[in-house]
Amino acid sequence: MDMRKPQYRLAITVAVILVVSCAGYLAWSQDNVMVRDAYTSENIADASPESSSDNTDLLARVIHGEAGDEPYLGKVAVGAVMLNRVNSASFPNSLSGVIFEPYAFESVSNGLIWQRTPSTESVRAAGEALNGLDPTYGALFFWNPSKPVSPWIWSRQIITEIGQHVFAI
Amino acid sequence: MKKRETYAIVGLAVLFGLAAVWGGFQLKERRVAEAQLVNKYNGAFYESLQRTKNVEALLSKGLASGSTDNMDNLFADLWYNANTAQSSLHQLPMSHQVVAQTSKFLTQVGDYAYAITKRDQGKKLTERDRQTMSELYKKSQDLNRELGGVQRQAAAGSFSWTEVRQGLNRNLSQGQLSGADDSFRRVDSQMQEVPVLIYDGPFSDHLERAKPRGVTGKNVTAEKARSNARDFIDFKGAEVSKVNNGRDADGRIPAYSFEFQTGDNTRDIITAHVTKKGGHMVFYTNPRSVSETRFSESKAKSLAQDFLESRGVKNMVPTYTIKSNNALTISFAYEQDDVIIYPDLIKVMVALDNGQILTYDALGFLMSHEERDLPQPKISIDEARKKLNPDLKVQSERMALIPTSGKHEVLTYEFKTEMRGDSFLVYINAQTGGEEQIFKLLETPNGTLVL
Repeated sequence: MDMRKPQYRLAITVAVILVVSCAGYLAWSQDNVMVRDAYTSENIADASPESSSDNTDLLARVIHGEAGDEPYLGKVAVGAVMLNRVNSASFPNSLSGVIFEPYAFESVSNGLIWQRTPSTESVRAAGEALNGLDPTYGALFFWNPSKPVSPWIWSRQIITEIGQHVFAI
Repeated sequence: MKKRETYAIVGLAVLFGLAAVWGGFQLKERRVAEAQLVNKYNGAFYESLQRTKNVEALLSKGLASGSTDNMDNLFADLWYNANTAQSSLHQLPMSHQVVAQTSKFLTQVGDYAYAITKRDQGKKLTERDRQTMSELYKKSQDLNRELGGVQRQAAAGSFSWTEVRQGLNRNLSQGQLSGADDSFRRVDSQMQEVPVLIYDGPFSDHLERAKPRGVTGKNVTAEKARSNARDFIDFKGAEVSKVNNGRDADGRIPAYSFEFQTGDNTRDIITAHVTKKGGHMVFYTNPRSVSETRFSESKAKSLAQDFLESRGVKNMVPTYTIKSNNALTISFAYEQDDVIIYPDLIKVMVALDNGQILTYDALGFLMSHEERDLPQPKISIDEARKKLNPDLKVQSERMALIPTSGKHEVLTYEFKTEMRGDSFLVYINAQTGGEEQIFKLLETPNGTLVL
């Protein structure tokens, strides 16, 4: 009997772990389903009560996803890079084309842009970038040098650094 | 005891069974999702292939055509097919460096064709255009041959899009390329030596080489630039407690960067860029948030105008305004000999709580500004007005220098007009009498949108 009791406990522990991990996984996959549906009109309204332009909302989301923790100018700069890409022949010729290019931006690839509501600062940064403010003077790439990036990217001509990001053409 | 053991084992078996069933469903769902993704990628891939083939055929037809009317149709088709091919290419899960040149080629072919139809309505192609077109035709043949190779690999199953995708994730940090990336890189390297295309369109090669025309004067030291910035910025009486040097900008306009802190406010750092040549302010921006509107728009406009004049920025007239987050952004354009010079733009953002100038942005101005030799108009404003659609009611008129899509400058008459409750800006070329441009003005509570 003393020999069996630990086995009994083991069985219960295993069962509990299974149930908990199943529930956890289900909750997580539920989350993923929600991500797909998160772009509702209410969310857009939250993001920018005064904005009338769809582009501002979309750009603010990507700025927030890519540079949410950056200083204000770093946010404007990331927005400017997106818009510089629209005007470059080697990138898609529309803002949504640039933003949704597969694997172009991590926060778009992993769905983060739909999970976080852009801050007022990100919304203003999007507006200023759309107004033409470009602290990067035409940069087409930005990256965080402390994270692993393709060595290819370092062959680009670097223009400046703002916050944690390097900007290059 | 035996019973308990049995219960435990049966319980475990049931749980494992449930987990297996659940896992099976998950696997199935994943396969469906993956198939959908692969279908999307294949759709884009085959679309891009087909459109690129059309581009080759259309270029060849353009060279063979002797009719200018038909040429216009062919070029419209060329523009559409090249654009679709380019946008489909960018929907594939590829690294940028393996599609960059192909993408540029497709964009420019379409843009070039479009610019020619716009320029040449009813006219024949010049010998130089024919030369360029036959070079582009040769390039499109190369491109199709290479893409045919990738297509055969795809058809033979030697790579799948999901592999490309996973490869991209796995190899990104090591900079290695997956199988399909590698095949596409071969395509792209074929596209390296594309003729340089200079024409009047937004993707023409001359735009990338644009030099700033408004950056005049001698080189200044960082100290001088810093004091220029300090005198320029509207601190609204706040004491500057700290100035940091940011990283210099080494772009089209080499500039020093400074960060100003006022008082003990470490959050709202004002950043300013000042040109190394001449010490001109490129831009400054103050990220302070504005929580209320107490100033009217007309008051804000006159504050912005006073600010510019006090900073020695003369002859600027306000054009459009847009309001957001309790701040008004006003676009000022330069005025010379009673002509509005739209390429020379300065944007000023005014906080509507206390009238502080939050942003000053003169990048556009510094790129294009110079005292111009404006041409003498060949047609009068009365003649120009007759060219308008008779349904339009003219509300105001003036002369304006406007940029074309390739940033060339055209002298025009600007008519603000109204038709059935909608407002339009119409620009009539002052030399040819042609309609250069038309904008629809959309009044919103936050300002006028120009469409």
